Amino acid sequence: MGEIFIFSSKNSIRFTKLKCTILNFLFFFVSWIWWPKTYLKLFPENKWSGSLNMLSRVSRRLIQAHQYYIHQLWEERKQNLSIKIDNNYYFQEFFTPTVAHMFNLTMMIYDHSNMDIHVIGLSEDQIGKSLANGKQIFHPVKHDSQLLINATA
Amino acid sequence: MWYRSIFGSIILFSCCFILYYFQTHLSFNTHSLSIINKNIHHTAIILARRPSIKILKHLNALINVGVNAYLMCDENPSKYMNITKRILYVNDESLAQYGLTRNRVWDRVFIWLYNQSSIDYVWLMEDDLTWTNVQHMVNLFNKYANNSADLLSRNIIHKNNQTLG
Repeated sequence: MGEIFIFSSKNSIRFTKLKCTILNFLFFFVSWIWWPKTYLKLFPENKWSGSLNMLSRVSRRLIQAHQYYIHQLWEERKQNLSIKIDNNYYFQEFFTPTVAHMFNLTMMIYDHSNMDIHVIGLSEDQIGKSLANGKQIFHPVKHDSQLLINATA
Repeated sequence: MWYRSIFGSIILFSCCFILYYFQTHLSFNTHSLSIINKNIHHTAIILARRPSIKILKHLNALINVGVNAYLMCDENPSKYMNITKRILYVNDESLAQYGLTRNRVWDRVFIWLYNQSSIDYVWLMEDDLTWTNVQHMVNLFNKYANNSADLLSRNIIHKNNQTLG
């Protein structure tokens, strides 16, 4: 009985780990699920970009590009009140890298070797394992983690 | 005659010693100063729905290591304003001027940044990002202090499949 329990809990942990790995793999490497469903002349499809910005750095040039395109989108809506702009155009995960692409601004992925960054909330157990693997920065941590108590020190 | 040479050597040695001392002393000060300046020049904004104790502690941790840190809220934080002046808020009317009606914290932070021309680079972090020690964040900021990329992100995907990673 004990062996069965150990076997099933090990399988459960493995399954959860596998599920997280698959989800993160899909999210980071395979597909981007928030592309707009409609097209605007303002943003040619070949410029569409997506980025996950739970931690990101933006430059003054990108902020100005952002302001320019927010203004352009607003003008487009004002000029043609009947136009229905897909909400995905406004999501920062789409808008920020796409306007950077429109202005040919430089985009770069930072070194995340010491980070454990996911889309699904990290449990205390996962944080513990990541700490053992030398990770130092975590996302998303929704709870008051006892393992990361020094974060606020 | 010989004592004149010895005296000259002593003077020369003393001058070299004084110069060496000042050089090492000044270079140490410059190094310390550059570390401090690097920290001061980093600007970071935490994006949160409302200021919780945990988030305020994160903000405080960043400020304590010299980061010019702020907290942008999604709700009017007037009752927290007496705790710190580092809490930012952009009201819905200001968003509406740009046609933004979703009233999200990401929209608020960009509207605020439009008018902050003195900020060349700013780190934006969601409130559920955390760390084992705040120094790891400073190390990351320092690592890219001289990098001119306009967008630094965890991953960037292009629709035409030129995925960066």
